[in-house]
Amino acid sequence: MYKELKFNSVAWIVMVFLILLGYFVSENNSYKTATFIGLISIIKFLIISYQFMEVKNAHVVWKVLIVIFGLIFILSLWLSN
Amino acid sequence: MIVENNSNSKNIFYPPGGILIWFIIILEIFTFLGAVGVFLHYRKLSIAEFEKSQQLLSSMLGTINTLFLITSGYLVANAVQCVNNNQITKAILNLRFGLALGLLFLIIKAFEFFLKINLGIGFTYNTYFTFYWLMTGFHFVHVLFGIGLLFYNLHVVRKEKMTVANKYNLETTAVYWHMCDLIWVLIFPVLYLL
Repeated sequence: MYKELKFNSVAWIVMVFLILLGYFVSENNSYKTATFIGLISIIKFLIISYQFMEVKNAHVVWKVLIVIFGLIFILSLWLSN
Repeated sequence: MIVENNSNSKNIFYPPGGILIWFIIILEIFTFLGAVGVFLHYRKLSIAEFEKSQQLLSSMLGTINTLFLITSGYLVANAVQCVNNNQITKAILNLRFGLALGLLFLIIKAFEFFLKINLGIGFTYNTYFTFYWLMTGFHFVHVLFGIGLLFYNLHVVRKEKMTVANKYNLETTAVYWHMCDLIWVLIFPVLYLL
């Protein structure tokens, strides 16, 4: 149980870092690209689903489905630019 | 995961929280992804208008709100782990703080809506803000419903014996709450950061 709580805490710290990174990247226009911001979002998306929602313990179909959603999002961003 | 002790944890019909909530989650993600896709399409057609409209949003306020929502999700995930291991006092603490942060998210969002309305930036202001009001408005309603579920589960954890059914309900609620995080993580960068 403590292992899971530790993993949750690590995931949360990484999320906070990514959220702040996304903010600073968007404020700095020279580094701002839709794809980069999209990639940060997808990493957050995967951390929430795999760690907080415990999809990592689920059947592979659900794991793949989550990854597909992420790919659809990043593809939409890439196509719109 | 509640069914982790059950050999069915890897069964396709037993995703975390149950298969019914996952049908809802899939529908919701598809719907919001669709909205994001259409938004990005219109953004490509009128990029100047969209970038100018985005300046009317505060990315700092959005970022702070994101931090509150994600931290709330973290605390609710911890609460589920604590309940699994019969650490009820810790679970109640995590749920209370998780709820408080969720409420804070709603208050800040409502304040943001109030500011927009005061400036006359309503649903029909322009295409960008039609999407803004639709996406954030629907998300707001989802979070509000999630708050209600969390309140109910907090009551159950505090007052009732944690039966398998109660634990399962908490897990389902937690999965729904994380779905709100998932949706926000998709719409926030698209509306506030691009």
